Amino acid sequence: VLAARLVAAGMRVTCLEQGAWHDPAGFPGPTLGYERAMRGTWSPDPNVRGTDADYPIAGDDAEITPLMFSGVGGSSILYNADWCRLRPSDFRVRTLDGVAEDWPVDYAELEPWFDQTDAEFGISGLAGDPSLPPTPPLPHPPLPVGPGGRLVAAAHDRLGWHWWPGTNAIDPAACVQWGTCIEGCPAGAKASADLTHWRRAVAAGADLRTGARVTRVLTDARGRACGVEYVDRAGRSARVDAGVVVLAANGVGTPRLLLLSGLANRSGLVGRRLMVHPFATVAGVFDDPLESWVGHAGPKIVSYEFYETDAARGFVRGAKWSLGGIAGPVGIALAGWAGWGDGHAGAMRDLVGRTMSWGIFTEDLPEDHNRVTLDGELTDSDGLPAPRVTYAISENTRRMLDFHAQRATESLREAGAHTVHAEVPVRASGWHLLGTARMGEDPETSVVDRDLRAHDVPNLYVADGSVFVTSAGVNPTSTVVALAARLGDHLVAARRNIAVAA
Amino acid sequence: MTDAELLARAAAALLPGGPGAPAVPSDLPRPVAAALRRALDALGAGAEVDALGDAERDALLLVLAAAHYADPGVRAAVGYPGPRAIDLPPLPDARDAGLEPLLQRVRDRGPTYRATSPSPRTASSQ
Repeated sequence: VLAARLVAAGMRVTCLEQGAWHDPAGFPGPTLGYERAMRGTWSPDPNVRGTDADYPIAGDDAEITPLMFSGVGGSSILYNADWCRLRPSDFRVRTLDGVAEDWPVDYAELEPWFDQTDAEFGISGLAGDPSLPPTPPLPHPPLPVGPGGRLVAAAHDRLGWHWWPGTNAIDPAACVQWGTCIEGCPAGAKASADLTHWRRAVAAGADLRTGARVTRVLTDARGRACGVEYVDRAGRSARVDAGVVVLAANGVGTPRLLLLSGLANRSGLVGRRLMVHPFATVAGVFDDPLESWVGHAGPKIVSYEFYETDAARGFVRGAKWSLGGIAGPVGIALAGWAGWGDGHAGAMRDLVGRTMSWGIFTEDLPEDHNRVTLDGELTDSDGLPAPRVTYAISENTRRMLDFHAQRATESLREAGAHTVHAEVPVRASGWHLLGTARMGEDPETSVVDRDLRAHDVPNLYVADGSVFVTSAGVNPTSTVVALAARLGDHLVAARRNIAVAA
Repeated sequence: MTDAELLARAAAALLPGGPGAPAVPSDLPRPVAAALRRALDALGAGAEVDALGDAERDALLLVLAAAHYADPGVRAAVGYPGPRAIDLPPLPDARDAGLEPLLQRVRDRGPTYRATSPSPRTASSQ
């Protein structure tokens, strides 16, 4: 998103990506083994994939497993395309709820870039959701809600609870409902950044080097960034000189690079205040066949009924729910709901195609002890220290998880589910890696300023979820790309005034 | 016992009535393959499936379940056709048209987001 803006303005851009391009035709969705592949070769857990394009993560101190993907398009290759903006209150948690801190930007300021990136990613959905300020019409109509979604929507209507058709970064003209979005879309219908922006950026002149692992950011004698060093997959070291350096390596990779470089850490907050959206699933089993493997893997419907703070619940902030079908039988079997041994086959007949699940994204608040550091022993394939992730779920978040799981159970029971299975929290759910290079006005209490520029290095920027001040309770991709688009426009406008290295 | 025989023995205990002995997949990532190797070695030494560690048991279950549910007969028995391409209907989906009165009731309840006053910087730019 950022590179496309810069090259379109005539700026020279070199991007270093440790992974490779991936052809959608090679994604495993259409194969019989796709469910094994998503837990192996195509796992979102770099420790499971274990390829040289990934760095390992020391995660034994983390209650939630960090997930990511290395390749052109980054983690959007394996994301669920669940597309939602932060809500206005998400930028004002100190003012409204007396916790954490307000962002230095607000919803109104980001709104133009939300709208622009909705268009660039070709979002499908229905404008007018009252959980959000009014928006322009979205590029495409909502995707089918499906029989399970209709059941739960009707239940929420009876309960008087909010629901809305899901908003998905999926092109309906290309989607053929494989239902395997999170293994990479084999139809190329999912708006991953390799498809939506990188091909265009490269065609316009961006120099994208794959298999290039940045080892550190270089600075000159005056403390200005002057480029980066990297290692290619043949083990050769190289250097790229640059007037401006932007890190976009996610909430684990970016603090790792800053720590490896010894930069931008006057506040001591590089790597601290990691937030990951502790996630729960509540799955309802219905009598009727719902063909719950058909269609997009992202939300059929969403609910923001319990998103905003209600002090009577015993915690602050809230969570967004996304309703999806559970696709194949391997995932259902491995969930353990059917048991093993005698009785497994009969139980599976009652589960497969008849199970809908609420995914619950809770807002965890920033805490200094949740952090990314450099591990003292584990290294990547180039010998660089691996990140160590330390993360514990807070009491506020535990109460939130329990409350929402109970309400989601009520939702599915009202919809007719005869059995409900809850997993609270889901350990392997650390998709959203946020807060480890937070933005703020004060250099003593933040890493980057409101323009995403490092306080300590005047031409070093961060364009990923690291800059989030608080996590909100929604999928962050829409906000990450809106911030990146805003940064792109800022860099183009300020290009003559940025202090670069000599 | 061979790996195939060990897998067949485990499959008989965990997924009785399956289509036969699964093979060890050749495309497992290193960490999963290593856990499976440890599981098979433990089974070969006489361990029961329930006595395996979490990582070893998970790797074994993954391989067995994936092989089991790749069999067309097993998939048919549980009513799963396998992944397939299905064209989307014209959107908005006519089957969802009945939801419009429900959506209208959501709209009628009014905004649920908390409006916030603009930050000083946003306010000054408006």
